[in-house]
Amino acid sequence: MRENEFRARLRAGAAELGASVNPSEPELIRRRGDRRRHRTMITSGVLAFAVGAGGGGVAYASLAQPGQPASPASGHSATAGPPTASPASAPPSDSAPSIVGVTTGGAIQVFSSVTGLARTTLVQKTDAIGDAIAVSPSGATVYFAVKRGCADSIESVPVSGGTPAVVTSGVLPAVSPDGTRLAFVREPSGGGPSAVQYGCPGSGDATAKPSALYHVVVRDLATGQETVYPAPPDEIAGMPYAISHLSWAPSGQTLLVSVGPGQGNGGWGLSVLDTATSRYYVPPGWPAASAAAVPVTGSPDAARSYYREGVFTPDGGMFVNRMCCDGVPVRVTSSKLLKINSAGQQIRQVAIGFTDRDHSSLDAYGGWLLYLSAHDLFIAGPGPARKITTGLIAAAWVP
Amino acid sequence: MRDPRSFDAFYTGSVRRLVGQLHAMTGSRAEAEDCVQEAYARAWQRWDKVSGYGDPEAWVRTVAYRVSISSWRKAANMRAAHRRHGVPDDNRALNPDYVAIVTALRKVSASQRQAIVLHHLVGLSVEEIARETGAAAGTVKARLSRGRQALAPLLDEGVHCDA
Repeated sequence: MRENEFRARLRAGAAELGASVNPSEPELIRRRGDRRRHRTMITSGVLAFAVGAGGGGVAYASLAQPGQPASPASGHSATAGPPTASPASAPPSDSAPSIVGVTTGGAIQVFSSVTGLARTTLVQKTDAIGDAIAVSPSGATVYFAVKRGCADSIESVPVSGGTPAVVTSGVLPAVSPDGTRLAFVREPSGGGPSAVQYGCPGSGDATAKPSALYHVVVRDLATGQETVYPAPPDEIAGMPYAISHLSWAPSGQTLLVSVGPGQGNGGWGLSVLDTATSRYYVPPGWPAASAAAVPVTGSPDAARSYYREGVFTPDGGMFVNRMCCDGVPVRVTSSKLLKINSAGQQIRQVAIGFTDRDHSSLDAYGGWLLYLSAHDLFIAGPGPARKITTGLIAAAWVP
Repeated sequence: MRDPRSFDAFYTGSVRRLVGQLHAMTGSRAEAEDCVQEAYARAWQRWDKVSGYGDPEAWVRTVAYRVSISSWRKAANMRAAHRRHGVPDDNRALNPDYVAIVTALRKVSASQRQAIVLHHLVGLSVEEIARETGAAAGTVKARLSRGRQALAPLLDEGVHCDA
């Protein structure tokens, strides 16, 4: 048999066999792939748990779904709360709460909090700034910050889909619990502590003193009226204290302001701003901040540990990333995700973070917490945190 | 972001071809179908990456082949195939010439069989086979040559190089 004859017979036979194949519907193949993906996530988590080295510092043993009622957030332990349906034995419910996130590619998507799979894409491509996305309490509207040159703006888009609309100029949106007010930050340029830039008009104005350029603003969404909370004039220094996150207390009156770093890897911390009585927000570490700053307690080295970011939880507690140590040279020896009370005392440890990763985009919903470890999204319920998906620069619960 | 429409189009357009190729590699229609399905499921699992590859079909083919040579998978496949299809007799309706070739291919080594199928059925060059299998080009040439020699006594007329 000549080679070309061999080839022709082989090809004809394979084509004949292929033509006789009745392949499964592609949807069935995709479902099979999705199940594999889910099993892989569970397996990797269990393995990480077994070796004590989960992503973000923890593994997940809890397979409870966010859709299930969580135990009361205060004081719950890693073993509290009844186990709920296991995704391994039961298909994930599509009714589980969603998470909205900004992908590293710039898309804004809604994800399942159980499978981590994208449910819908709200915006295909934006210049959204990381760690800055919020959802109205009704779950109907997503607010995110967009950087376009020197103009940072907050835009909104319906969760059901639609065209984004500009709300105002600023970054770091946070919607009040009653959905009537939007807190955000106006700052020189960029968003987050490592993105401060001075190439934009006014941002490098030495006479204005950079710290004076950071304002917390609360905007009435119905009227557009804004209340501005600058740093106190007698405390304004020549160094900037970037604000990295805002979070409303359940009462809808108080804001938790995550600040830092200042010069020399200092000035990190959480400042409590009473929007009803305060005229200023006070960066932590300033003399006038003693009453407003959330104290750092516990180990290691409470004097040099600091809060990288924090949010209020629905029970009035706080979910924070506590790190050590500040100062230069920069050397992080500890990064913990903790539930604390307003006195800074630990209620429980949610996760141990990697010391070479930034942990941000903290958010709480019911008894459930989420955070990003670099680009990995973790959620934690009554049990340990588990990795849900990756490739995000911002995330928040959809109520 | 995984686009189900692009995956569905890719799957629909290539699945029959890949089952034919895997059948030639494995000699079993049931196993070929199982392995190809598994490979497509894995492709969908990471479709955001696989869809960006230059040749996703080659990725699926490689994964399907690796699945087929996994001993654990092989045992599981045999059990599953037996449950679904009973005793393998899936060659009955095929052209006798093709059945003879596949039967002969099953008697040469797996690496030689893979090289022969990729070269003669898929139409890959030696260099492309080397890339897909991770073997050196010289190794691929040797496998093709020895595979031809091994097939010769198994096919009535043998396989001779074209002039």
